[in-house]
Amino acid sequence: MQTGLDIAQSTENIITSLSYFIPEFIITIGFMLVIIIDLFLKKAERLVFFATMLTLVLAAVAYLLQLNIIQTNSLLLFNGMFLHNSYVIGFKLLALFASIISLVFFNQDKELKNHPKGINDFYTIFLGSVLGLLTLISSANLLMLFLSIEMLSIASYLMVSYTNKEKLQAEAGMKYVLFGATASAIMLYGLTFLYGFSGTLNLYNENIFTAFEQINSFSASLVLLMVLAGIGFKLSFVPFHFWTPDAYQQAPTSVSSFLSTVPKIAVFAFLFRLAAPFQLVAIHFSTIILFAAGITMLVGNVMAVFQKDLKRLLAYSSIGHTGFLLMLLVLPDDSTMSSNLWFYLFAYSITNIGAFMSIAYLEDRFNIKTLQQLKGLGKLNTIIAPCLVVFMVSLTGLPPTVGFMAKFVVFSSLISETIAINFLAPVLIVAVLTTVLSLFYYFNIPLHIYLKKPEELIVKKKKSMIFDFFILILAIMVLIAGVFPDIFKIF
Amino acid sequence: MGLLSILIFAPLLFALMILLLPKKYSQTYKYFTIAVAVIQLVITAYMYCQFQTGAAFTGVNQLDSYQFKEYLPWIRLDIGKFGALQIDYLLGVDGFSIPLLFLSALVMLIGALSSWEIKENHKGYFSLMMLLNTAIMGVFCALDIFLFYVFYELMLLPLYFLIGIWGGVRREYAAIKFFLYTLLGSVFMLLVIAGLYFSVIDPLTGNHTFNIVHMMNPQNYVPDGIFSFLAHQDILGIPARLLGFIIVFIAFAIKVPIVPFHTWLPDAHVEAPTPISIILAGILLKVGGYGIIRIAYSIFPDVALNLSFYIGLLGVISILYGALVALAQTDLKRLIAYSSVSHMGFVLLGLASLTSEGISGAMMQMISHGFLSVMLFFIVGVIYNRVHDRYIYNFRGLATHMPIYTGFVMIAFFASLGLPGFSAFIAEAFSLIGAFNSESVNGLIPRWMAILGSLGILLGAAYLLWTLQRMFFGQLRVKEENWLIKLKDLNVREILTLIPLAFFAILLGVMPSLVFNIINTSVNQFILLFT
Repeated sequence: MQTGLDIAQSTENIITSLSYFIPEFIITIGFMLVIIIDLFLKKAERLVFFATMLTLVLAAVAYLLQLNIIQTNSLLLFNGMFLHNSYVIGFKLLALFASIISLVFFNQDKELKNHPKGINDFYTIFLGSVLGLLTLISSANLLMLFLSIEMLSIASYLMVSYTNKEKLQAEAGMKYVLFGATASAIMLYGLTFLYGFSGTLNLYNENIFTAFEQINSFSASLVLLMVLAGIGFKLSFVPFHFWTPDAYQQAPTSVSSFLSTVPKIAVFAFLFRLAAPFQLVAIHFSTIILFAAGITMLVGNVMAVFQKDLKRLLAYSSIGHTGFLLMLLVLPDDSTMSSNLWFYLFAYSITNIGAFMSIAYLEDRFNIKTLQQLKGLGKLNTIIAPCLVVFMVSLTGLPPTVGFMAKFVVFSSLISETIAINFLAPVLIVAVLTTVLSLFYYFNIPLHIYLKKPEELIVKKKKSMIFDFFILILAIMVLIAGVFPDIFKIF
Repeated sequence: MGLLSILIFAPLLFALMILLLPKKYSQTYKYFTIAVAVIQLVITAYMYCQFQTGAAFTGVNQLDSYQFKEYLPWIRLDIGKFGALQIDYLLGVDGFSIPLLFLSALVMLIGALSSWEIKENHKGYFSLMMLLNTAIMGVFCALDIFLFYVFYELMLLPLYFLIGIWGGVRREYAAIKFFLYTLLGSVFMLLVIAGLYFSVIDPLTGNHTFNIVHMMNPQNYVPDGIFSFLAHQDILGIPARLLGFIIVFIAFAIKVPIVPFHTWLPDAHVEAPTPISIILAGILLKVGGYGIIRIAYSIFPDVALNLSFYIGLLGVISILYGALVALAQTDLKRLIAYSSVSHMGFVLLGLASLTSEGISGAMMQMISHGFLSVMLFFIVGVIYNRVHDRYIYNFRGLATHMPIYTGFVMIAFFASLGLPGFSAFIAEAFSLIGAFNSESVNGLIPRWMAILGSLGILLGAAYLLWTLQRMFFGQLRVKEENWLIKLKDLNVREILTLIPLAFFAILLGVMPSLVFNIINTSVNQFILLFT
């Protein structure tokens, strides 16, 4: 790895790197295009939506093309700023896929659409956050990491508070910003330590990890904790989760859906690349991660039991799933970790977005926000109610849904390591117990829909066919991927 | 597509038809259900007659000797360094599964026939029942442990809704309690299944496998696998194989149910509508017993052998505790639910003896209890449908008022308490003989367990005869005057439902060889696992 002092070589590197960066350029161009359209054309909502959609689809196509011609070994682009290999592209495609579904969701969300500000600015912010996601997934440099995370964070702050009108929502947005800023600061502080110990910002420079062997384990753990703080905030694992329920509850449902899935894909995709080297040098890495995983699963699932509000319930459930995924980071093998991570994130994304969509639909059509209001829905609605049950079954992890396959894949990749890795066995037991516990609150939803005596439900609006259609498609996907997971497990 | 696949997927097909059929035909749904059950009954009866026995058809740990086998590669999932998860659609039957398949088909038919009481939302009810039917058939046919698990879990969802929507007053509580209990056992089992997968290889291809049959042969284990016979790995300081057995055993023990894991059963039974109680008692409890035989005992024979004493003890405790609690019940359905706990204890006792009499007795007890518990729950349903009350002391002297009904009640009660000439007598006698002989044959369980077990029969006679006396003999008296008009004697449909059950209970009591001949070779092969 060269240090970038040689200008000619470095310029050449940049020029050759440019061609690998086309998808990101597409997003950037789309981003600017959307701003311009919004500035100069009136009533351009439809056009802006299609422009955004086109941008995402083109970027995805560009990645697919890259995937076709990819070499087996990894490449570093722009003098070690970005990593380029098939895993990175796999996760990027997943993130784009989830973003595309989210975009459809945004477009259907009445709260966003009917807002006096208009939805066009929102699409701009959204594209900005997607760019941040993509660079985060491939970032190979500490500075790039920080930039991407900040880009993503700032976009998320704006998205959460976009429709800000009540006090509560302002509070949630404020909480989110303050927490986010603090977490970022701590992470930045940790990154400076990393730089101080090793003298390099490049994650793929050997120094950065060999330096760890020379410092004592206390400082090593401290640095690790600091870096994890910033990442943990985005993933909302315990104890960095406090913002999650408030933000998810107050934000427009489509935004909660986006925040609870897509940034997670990106951050996990980055974190798994960090995990392998850290496992080798930082003795406590696995222990810290397992501890965080166990606590996160416990807190997320236990708190979810007490929730009455549907979005809050899903917020805590997403915390629980984060804990579950964290366990994968202790696997000693890169490829196993990433391929299982990919599949779990895929399963989680389609299920979770499906669940949020159903909730948005119910909120929109019947004004349902809490569990209590779900009573008797089963009699009134014969499409969304069963779909919602399918999503809940999948989130619990029962066959024949994709959630079960994902859970099984995680269990089976971890079970053989229980002897080698300390504390893994008890954390696995926690995982099993919290799975059983999760049944209790996830099935509160079918319980209220079908088992409770119906009450008068007021139909507010006509149904939206697009919503119906997408929710149905997602539910069918959840089932098909549960029975034939090979079709979807591409990476 | 073989017979077993038809058996499994026919109900699913009919469920789709029910879902697509407009609501105005809702009265026809139950005939669909009956049609499926009849088709299944014919197929299983045909298979039962075609079923071959002898040295070449032993089953258990000989994959080649399973019958009606079907194989399709199903899932190939790459999970990184460990290679790919290979999950197959592998079906087959041996002496242990074929009688239970026939029983399931019959019980499903009875369940469909007793669904006349369901008044609302026919579409949901009957399609869920069909889904349940698919899962049940799948469990008894699957030879791939992953496939088994999928079907096993698939049973829970329809049951949750069937109890929860069409059940009694406390149905929500009963449904979720049942679900949580079963899931607690089975999610831990999922961990064991994953561990087993990485410990076992297919001797032909050298890949890891989910094949249950391969898991029974010690030479298929990789030396350093977590559940390897030789490596003696420890998890949390407990030997891995011991832990694996205990987890799997508890998962199925919850289902059987065995004291102290039984507390979901009375609630579920009491709250469930009659047809679901029938299916619960007739089939689902047998899934637990079948799982113990097929998975827990067959895959971990070494551990099972060492723990025989404790398993026998659990069996005896279930027999006595179930019977004693049944004595104290005043709700007829609860009484029968606890009698199930007691009777299923014999299965465990017979199994723990690991003698061929004991295991044959255990199998016989599962089949016999299948017919009899269905009959008992149907009998409760008859009264409950008419007056919506099951309190024992609200009825007296029904014998004169409902003579045909009382006749069937007497058959069911006397058969259940183990009167010679009925199937339960053969079953319990064989279990006890096995338990009694065990001390001299293999020294696994002491004689006093057999003696205490026979005390359970005595207690069984006590609560059943006492109930008979309280409800059916003496002066005719019921709680409210108008009940006398409501309490009509059995109608033709009900008589037609009860006759085959009574017929089989007597037939197997007189000619137990009908079952013993079929299961014998497999039982002997099963015992070889423990030597």
